[in-house]
Amino acid sequence: MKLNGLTASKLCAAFIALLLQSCSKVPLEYTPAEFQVAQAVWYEAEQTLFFFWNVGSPLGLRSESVFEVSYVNDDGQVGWMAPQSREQVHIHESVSCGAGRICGSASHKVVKEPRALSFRLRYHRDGEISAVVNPESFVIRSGAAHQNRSFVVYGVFDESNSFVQWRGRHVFPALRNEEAQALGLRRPFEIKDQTYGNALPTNPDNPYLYGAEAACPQSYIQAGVDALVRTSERAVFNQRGLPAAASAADSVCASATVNDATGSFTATAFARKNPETRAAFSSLRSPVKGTTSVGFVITPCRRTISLQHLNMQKQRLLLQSPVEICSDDFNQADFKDRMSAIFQERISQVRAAGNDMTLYIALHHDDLTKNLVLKLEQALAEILPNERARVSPRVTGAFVFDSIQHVVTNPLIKNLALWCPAALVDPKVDPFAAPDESQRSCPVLPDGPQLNAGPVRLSSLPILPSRQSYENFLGKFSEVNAGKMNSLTAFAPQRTAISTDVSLGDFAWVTFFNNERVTAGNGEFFSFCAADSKDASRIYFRTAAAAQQPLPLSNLPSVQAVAQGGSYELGLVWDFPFLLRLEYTFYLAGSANAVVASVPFGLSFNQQQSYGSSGWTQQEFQIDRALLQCTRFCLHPFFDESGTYSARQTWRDAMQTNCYRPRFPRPPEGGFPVDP
Amino acid sequence: MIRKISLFLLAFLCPSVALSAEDVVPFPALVERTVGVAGKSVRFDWRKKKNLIFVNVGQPVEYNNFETYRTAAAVQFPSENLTLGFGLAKALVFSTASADAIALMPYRQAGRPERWELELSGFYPVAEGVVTFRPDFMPAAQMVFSLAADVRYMVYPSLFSGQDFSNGFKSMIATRLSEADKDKLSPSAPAAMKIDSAKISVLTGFNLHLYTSGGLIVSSKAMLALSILGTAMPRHADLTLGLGYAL
Repeated sequence: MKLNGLTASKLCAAFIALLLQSCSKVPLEYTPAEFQVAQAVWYEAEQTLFFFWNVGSPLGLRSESVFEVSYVNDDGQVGWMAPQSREQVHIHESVSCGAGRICGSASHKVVKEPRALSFRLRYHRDGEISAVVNPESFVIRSGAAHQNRSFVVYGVFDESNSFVQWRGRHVFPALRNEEAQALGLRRPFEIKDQTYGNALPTNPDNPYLYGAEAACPQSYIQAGVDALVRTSERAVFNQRGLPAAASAADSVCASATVNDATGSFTATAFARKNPETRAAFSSLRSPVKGTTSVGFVITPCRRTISLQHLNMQKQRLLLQSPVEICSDDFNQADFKDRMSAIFQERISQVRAAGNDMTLYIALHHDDLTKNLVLKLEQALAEILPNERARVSPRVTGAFVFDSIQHVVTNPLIKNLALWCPAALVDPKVDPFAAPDESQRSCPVLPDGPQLNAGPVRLSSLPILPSRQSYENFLGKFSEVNAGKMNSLTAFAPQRTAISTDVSLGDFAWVTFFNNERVTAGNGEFFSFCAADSKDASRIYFRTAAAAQQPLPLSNLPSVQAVAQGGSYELGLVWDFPFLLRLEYTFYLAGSANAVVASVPFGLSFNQQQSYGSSGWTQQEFQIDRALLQCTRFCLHPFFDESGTYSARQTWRDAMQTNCYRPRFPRPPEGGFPVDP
Repeated sequence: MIRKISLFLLAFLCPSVALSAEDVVPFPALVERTVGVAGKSVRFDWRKKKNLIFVNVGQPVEYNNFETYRTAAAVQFPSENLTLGFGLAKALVFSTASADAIALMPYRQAGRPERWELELSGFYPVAEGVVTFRPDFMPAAQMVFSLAADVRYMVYPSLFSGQDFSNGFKSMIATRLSEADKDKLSPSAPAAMKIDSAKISVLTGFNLHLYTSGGLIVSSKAMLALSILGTAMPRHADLTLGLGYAL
C-alpha cells in the first residue's frame, strides 16, 4: 500500500495534533444514597416492629453497602445494626428490587413502643460513612382485628363456587399489600373448621369480614372440606369442593390463625360466593320477509306529458300491471277520496294472499302547484299509519317515484313513505331540520357532470331521476344508456297480533313484537355492557307501569335496581318501516360526434343499493352478552377482568353499566394473586 | 590514489553508482539520506516478510485509581508503506488502596473492568534506518519509527452467561454496554468503579520496531487513547512493550 507525499503529510499533521491534546484525571462522581421506602410500623397487639426499606443511588449501590436501623424504647437503646441480623418474628425472603438497589423487610419482637427510629445506609461494610434518614414511623394500637393488625385473612371462590381459595393480605398504613410482599415479607396462616351457611355479617368498615364475628355463626354447617389448610404464600385453595348441599349457602366461615411475636392469633374469616350470572335474554328475533309489490300509476289519461318518461317510471318500479289512476281532474275536491278508495280496494285484494305489502306508486305529472302531490300525501296518510299498526299481512309503507322532486310535508307519512327524487331542504331555511329517509336515500342531484374530451362527451344519470334530468339526458345521449332497474324488493318485519308500537318522537318507533321480556325476582339484578353487542343500541324496554315510555336497554339495570324484581318487555327501535333493496344497471353514457353524425355508446355497471332502515337486513338481534342477569349473591364482591377481587363493591352497584368479564382463580392456584 | 581505490571498491560493492569523480557521493551522506525518509531497508528487509508476530505487555495509564495491565498476542502484515495487524489482548484490572478508600464513600470513578480486547492496528513508517547498539558485540539492527493507530473492541465474556445465543450475540456486537450489562459486570468490577459504557476505544501514537538480521523484533508503542465514541474516560496514555518475530 502506498501513500503519496501530500496525503502522508496531512496524516502526520493530524496525528501530531491529536497527540498534542492534554490528558486529565478521571473525576470522582458523587452518588449519594436515596431512600425510596423507609418505613417502620409497630403493632401493639402483635408486639412486632416491622421495617421496610428500599434504597438506591444514582450510580447504584453494591453488595458491600449495608442497611442498618437503630431505635430507643423504654427497655433501652438498640444501636445500629442490620435488622436481618436479629431473630425475626416472620419470614423475610431476600428480594431484589433491581440492580444497584438494596431493599428488604424485617420484623423484630418489640414489646414496648419504639421511639427515635433511624435508618442508615452505610456505603461500605468496612467504612463509617453513611446516609441517615428518619423513617416514616407508625404505631398501631390494639383494637379490632381487621383494622389493628398487620394481616387479614379472607376467602374467595373459584368460578364454580365450590372451591374456596383462602387468601392473606398485608395491612400497613403506608405500604400496599403487594409492596410488602415485594419487600420479602411472608406471613404463614392456617385455616380450620370450615362451615357454610347464610348468615354473612355486614360491616362496611370490614370489607374482608376478617374477625367480623367472635366465632363462626351457629347456623353454619360443617363443610366437610379440608380439615387444615396452610400456606406461607398469600393464597391457597381447598383441596376439596363444597358439597352440593352448600349450593344455596352464600358463604363459608373458618378459623384463621396467624403468628405474631406474642405467639398466634386466631379470628374468623369468611369466603363469599361469586355472583351467579347468566345472559338475561339471548336474542330478539323478528322475522323479516320480502313484501308484495302493489303497483299504481297516477297519470293524466286525456293527455300525454312524456311517454318516454312514463315508461321509464314504470320500468324503475318494475310495474307489470299497475292500477292506473287518472289524474286529469285532480283539482276536484273528491280526488283524494277516490284515490284512497282505489288504494284500499287494491290492498284488500292483495291482502288475501297473506303477505305484507308495499305500495309502489309512479306519479307522472307536471303539476307545479303541488296540489296533486299533497292530495296523494293525504290519501296515503289515511292508509299507511293504520296499516303500520296492523297485524301481518299489512301495508308496510309506500315508495313513490315522482316526476318532480318533492319533500314530504305530511308528518303522518314522513316516516312511512319513500318519496323519490327528494328535494333537499336548504339549510339556510332551517339549519336544524334533519333530513327524512327520502332525503337521505334519493336526494335529487344536479344533472350528471358532463366530461367533454374533444368530440367525445361522457355523462351518467341517477337511477331515479326527475323528469327534467331524464329529458336533459335524452337530449344528449341514448335512452338505452339511461339505466335499468333489475330488481326491487322491500323487506319488513312481520308483526304479530300482539305487536304494539310506541313513538319515540318524530323520528322513530319502538315495536314490541311478540311479548319478548325479561323477568327478575327479588335479589336479582342486571348488568348492561354496550361494548359486547352492537345490536344492543336498537333494543328498548318498557315496564307495565310506563308502557308508553320505553327506555334504552342500557337503562334497564338502574331502573330494575330501584324497582327490585319486575318484568321488562323488550322491543326494537326503528326509523323506517321497511328496507328497499334496489339492483340496477347504471351506464356511463357517451357520444362521439363524427363529421355528420353522433354515435352513442355506453359502459354498463351493475349496482346494488338499499334505501330505508338498514336494521331490517337481520332477523336476530343478539343481546346475550350485552345484558347479564345476576341470579344469586348479587350483593357480594366480584372479580374483574384482571382477577382483582373488589372486596368493597357489590356486583349490583358496580356492574349496572359495566361489562362483567371476571377472571376467577382456578384450583389449585395459590401463590400470590393480584391484590393491590 | 586512495580516493581512486575507494571509488573502485564502491563501484564493486554498488555497481549502480557511477564511477566518475563528479558523481561520487560520500558513504555517510548516502546513509543519512535513508534516515528520516522511510523507504529502504538496509539491515533487514522487513517489508518482504509475510507476517510479523508479537507478544506484547503493556499498561494503559487511565488516570483513575485502578490498575490495568494488558497482555496481547498480535500479528502484523507488512506492505510497502502501511502495515496492518490484529491481535487479541487480555486486560487485567485491579483495585488499589486509593480505589478501596473511594469505595467507602458515596463516590465512584469511571473505569473499565477486566475484559478481553480485539485489536485492529495500523502503522505508517515515518523514519527508518540502521542503528548500532552499545555494547557493540550486539549486531546492528534495522530501526523503523511509525505513526500508529489502534481500534480496540472490548469483550466481556461474563455478559454471555445466562443468555441464549441470540441475546448473547446481540450483547456481543453492541457498541455500548447497556445498563443491564453494567449491572451484570458490576459485582466483579472494583467496588469504586463506575463502569464505562463504551466498548470501542481508539488510540493513536508512535511505534518503534527494531529488527535484527535474524528476524527478531523488539517493539515499543506509546499511544494516546482518545475520548470519543461515548466514553466517559478522558484521554489517557497506553504504553506497550513487545517481542516479535518476522516470518
